Amino acid sequence: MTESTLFTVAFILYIGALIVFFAALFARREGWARAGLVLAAAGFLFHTAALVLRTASSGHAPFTNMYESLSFLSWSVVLAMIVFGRKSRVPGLAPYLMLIAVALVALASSPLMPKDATPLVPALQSYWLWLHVSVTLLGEAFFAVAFVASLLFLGAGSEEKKERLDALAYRAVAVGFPLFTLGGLVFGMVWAYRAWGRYWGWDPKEVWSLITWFVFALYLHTRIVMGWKGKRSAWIAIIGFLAALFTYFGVNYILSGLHSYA
Amino acid sequence: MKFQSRSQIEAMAKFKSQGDLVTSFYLDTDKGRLNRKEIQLALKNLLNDAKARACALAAAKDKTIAALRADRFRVTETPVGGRTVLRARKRRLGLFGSDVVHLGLLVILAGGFASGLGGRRAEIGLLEGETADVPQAAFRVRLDKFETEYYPKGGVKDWKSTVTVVENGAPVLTRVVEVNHPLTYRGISFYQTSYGWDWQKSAFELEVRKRADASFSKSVSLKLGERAAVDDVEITRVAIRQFVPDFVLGEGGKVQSRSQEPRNPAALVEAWKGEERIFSGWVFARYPDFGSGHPEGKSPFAFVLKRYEAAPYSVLEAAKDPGVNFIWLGSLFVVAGLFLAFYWPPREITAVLEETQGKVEVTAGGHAAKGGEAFQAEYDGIFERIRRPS
Repeated sequence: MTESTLFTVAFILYIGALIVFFAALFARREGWARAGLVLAAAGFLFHTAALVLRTASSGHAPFTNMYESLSFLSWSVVLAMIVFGRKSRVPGLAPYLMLIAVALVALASSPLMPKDATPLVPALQSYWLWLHVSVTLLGEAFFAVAFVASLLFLGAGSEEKKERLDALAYRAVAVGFPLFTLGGLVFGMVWAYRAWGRYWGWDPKEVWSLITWFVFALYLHTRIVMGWKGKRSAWIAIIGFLAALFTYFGVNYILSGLHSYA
Repeated sequence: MKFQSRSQIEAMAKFKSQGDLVTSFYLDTDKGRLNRKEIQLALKNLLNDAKARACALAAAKDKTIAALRADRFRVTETPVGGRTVLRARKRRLGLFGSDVVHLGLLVILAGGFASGLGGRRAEIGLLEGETADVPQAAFRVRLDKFETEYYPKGGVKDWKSTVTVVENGAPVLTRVVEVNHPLTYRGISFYQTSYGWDWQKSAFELEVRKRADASFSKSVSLKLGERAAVDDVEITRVAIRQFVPDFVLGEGGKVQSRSQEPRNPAALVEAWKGEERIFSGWVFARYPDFGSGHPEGKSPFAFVLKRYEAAPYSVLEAAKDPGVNFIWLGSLFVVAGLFLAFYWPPREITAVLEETQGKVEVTAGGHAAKGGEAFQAEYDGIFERIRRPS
């Protein structure tokens, strides 16, 4: 099978999982949700195979253009969904996270997105490409979990549900924040120093990563030091994820800078 | 069993409970009230009872400690009064995670100041074979070779500058500097940052034609700004006043070069007949016929830019950054601290063992700074194991 076939199969399985998840949510059938998880996991395996195949055929890390990085980001979101969806007893989480993943995959497979593997420009030829991008996107996937949990929190009715969603959002930030710091900021600085000769240059992507980092640092400080919970925390997590999204998409399409390739 | 003194009984009770429990008995040894047999019986019962209690408490304690240790807790025990207090802790390092993060941020801040105050950077453009001074350094660098590698389908694959460090007139080391592979020597790093062609020193070949006479063709080699003789009565000399490798008209019709690449090379050519300037116009190497539709097309002469050659040069950035090691150290602290704080949360369980009315009672409480749900599960597991009869 070719990479694009595998990717399409994964896409179909994800859509199947999405439908089953939402059916389970609205029909209140927990058994169906487990079936959805199986579908999502199967899709995840095909998606992994597609990424591996692309890496093998292009000879470089599978996140050097928008198509590749979207594919990897959706892969990370599904991974985060499986990690959190399996353990958490929050029925709304899996369907909405899956919705984000499917939206990302759909965006990646849209005809507007050039899918050809292009040879790497000199600046990207480094193993730091692997470390910097994969860890950052993985961290952002957990921010997506916090985002979904926070949105669900704002819409939830019962106190018990709210408490669970609040705890879940916090756990996701606690997992994602160290990853984002390591991948996005520290690995980014190391690579920038090797490639461009400076560890920090106020490039738009750098500035927006820092803004995202500050928002989640605010989330953690208000929560741990000042004891904020619930509504206020949820809003900070939502703003943080939107900042992360802007760092990811907006900077590429609106602000140009040294990061304009991906 | 023989009569035993109070101190002997106490010693025995202590021994049975392994020193953790002090059981004391008051034994009325006044023979006038109880007969010897009764005293012995009472004593025997008391002893058995003490033995049983001490054993139960010791066993319960051992079981509790074993259950805690199975989950990698470090257990310390302190006897308090008649009770045993067990304090179990794990992942103590996680307590310091937040402090380590904030210390790291201070180190990064210090590094940023050091970079800002003591950092120096300069661009050094070098043609092949050229040697240049490195600002604020006691050595020089020489560019031995500069090459651009292309992918088979086009697109730049790499820029490689072979650089030799020259110290006191003698070469010290030679390295290839590429993007992502800088050279560091005596605290100064050299990065491949840019490249280009030294167009101002290019060598040109200009062909002069006459529109009226197709057989007339003369090629002239010249440099920028140089007047070269054509040796003809109608046109005596030509010159190239200006050259741009990638011609584009900017704001207000100003001639600019869009890039350093020879994508649309153009030369501003002037020609004279004696002292009279008879031509001045742009000549495009890629579009030799462009002049015909141009006002200059009325000129009886046509020019073709046949050759334009320039030496490639490489631009290296020499950077000295005294703060960078602070940045790495601080980053290490921040990341280690974050992972300690969020992936290694400290957990603590305190259990008090006490026996009341022949039963051992275990009272316990747990505390985890983060990850409450996971800790709850672990805590429940431990006490499930303790409760289970062995």
